[in-house]
Amino acid sequence: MRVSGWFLVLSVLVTAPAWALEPGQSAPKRLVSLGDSITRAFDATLPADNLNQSWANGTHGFVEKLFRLPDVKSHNQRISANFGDSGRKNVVLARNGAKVKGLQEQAAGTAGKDYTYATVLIGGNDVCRDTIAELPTDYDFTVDAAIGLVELFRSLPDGATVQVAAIPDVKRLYEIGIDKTALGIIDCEQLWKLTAQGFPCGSMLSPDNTELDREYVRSRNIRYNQILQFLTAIGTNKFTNLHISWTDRTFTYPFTADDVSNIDCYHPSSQGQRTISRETWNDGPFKDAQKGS
Amino acid sequence: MTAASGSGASVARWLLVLAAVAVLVVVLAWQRAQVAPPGEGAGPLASRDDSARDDASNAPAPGATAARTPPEQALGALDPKGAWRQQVARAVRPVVSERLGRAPTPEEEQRLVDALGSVGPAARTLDREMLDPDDPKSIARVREQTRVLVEADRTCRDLLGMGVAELLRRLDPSSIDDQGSAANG
Repeated sequence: MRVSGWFLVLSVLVTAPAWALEPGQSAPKRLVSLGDSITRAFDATLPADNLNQSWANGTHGFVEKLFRLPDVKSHNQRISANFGDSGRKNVVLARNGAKVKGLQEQAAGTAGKDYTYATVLIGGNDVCRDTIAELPTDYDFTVDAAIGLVELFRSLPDGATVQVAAIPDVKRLYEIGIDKTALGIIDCEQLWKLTAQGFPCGSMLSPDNTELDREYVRSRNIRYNQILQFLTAIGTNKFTNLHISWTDRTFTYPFTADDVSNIDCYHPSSQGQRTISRETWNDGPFKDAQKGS
Repeated sequence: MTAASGSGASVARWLLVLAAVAVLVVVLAWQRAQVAPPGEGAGPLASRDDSARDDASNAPAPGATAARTPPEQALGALDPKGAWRQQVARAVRPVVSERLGRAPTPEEEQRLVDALGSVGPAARTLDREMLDPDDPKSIARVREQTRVLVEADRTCRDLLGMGVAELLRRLDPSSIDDQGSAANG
């Protein structure tokens, strides 16, 4: 009797929290991330990809503990903490430099894989072009985003969850870079100047831009987010077999200097990755599942 | 007579408790020695079970697992820095050998472990630092730790032709299924 009582208590403790799921919604154990270098945690702590510090796919296992690396408490970690370890998948489809035009190709990679949770954070490289003239039009952005999202929605099985996140406020990142320069932490302006050739954000970071230019680019940033939000809302209505949600916290959150990489003055640092994970999770479909937060 | 035997049982119980505590201390010291990085006395208890609990996809890398110090070497806890360096050297050796096409020389290995040893403390400091724009020491700390990370990465690239982040990733490639790296640019 006592044993069965303990078994009951243990079962309650380890079972996936049903209250965190809607009727028909699958547990998000098979995670896939779509997006760009932000999701790959590029330059977050060390130069190049730091996948273990990705807001979506990050891990904090033996190697990270051995080397005392930061713990970003990613969606992947939160999923394990809340829904259990069994049957887990943790897949990155996000690519460095990816634009919305490339979303369809990434989305095609989800077909037949039975992913139950997909994160989408893409569009930063559409705001960040070499020049302002290269910013996509509303039409181009809408068509590319729609094709990519529909491909994703069609590829996922019934009950899967999708979270689409807004493009971060790139002008805010620029301003943080200017602050870092002024504080003498790192000369971001010099860094941007040196890497201007081929650096994926001349449209915002080029020293030749005026404040008016930057305001214009920010207006495009906002417009692209409106388009993504609109398309996500259409998807929510059209694909009723899925659980699709939108978050604008990646745009509205007041990121600070600590949230931005000291290596390139542009990508999120480990703190920034942790912030993105926390904000998107708490504004997302599993916000009631708070273990591991 | 009854009082005496009761007293004896009590002493025996205490001895048992003491023995259990001693065993626990040795086990904890051993576990600590597994993960204690240089310059940091109190490392987390990162056993294999911890990894599994943290994340299903966080299974220790085969190389890293093989590098675990057996219990009989628990006295490594007396020299956590040395034990940590040995463990790291063993963990990275297969990846380094594969990369170089030969075993690393002792000098190469020492340079690499030195570089890797600087990564954790710098990364953690940066991660925890709440930058105070009015405090020159805070600014200097951020700048210095960033320099340390970039320098460690440069050393790793000089030796292996790949950065520290990539090296660490290869120690446990199973934790994240990276299907997006092929198109990196």
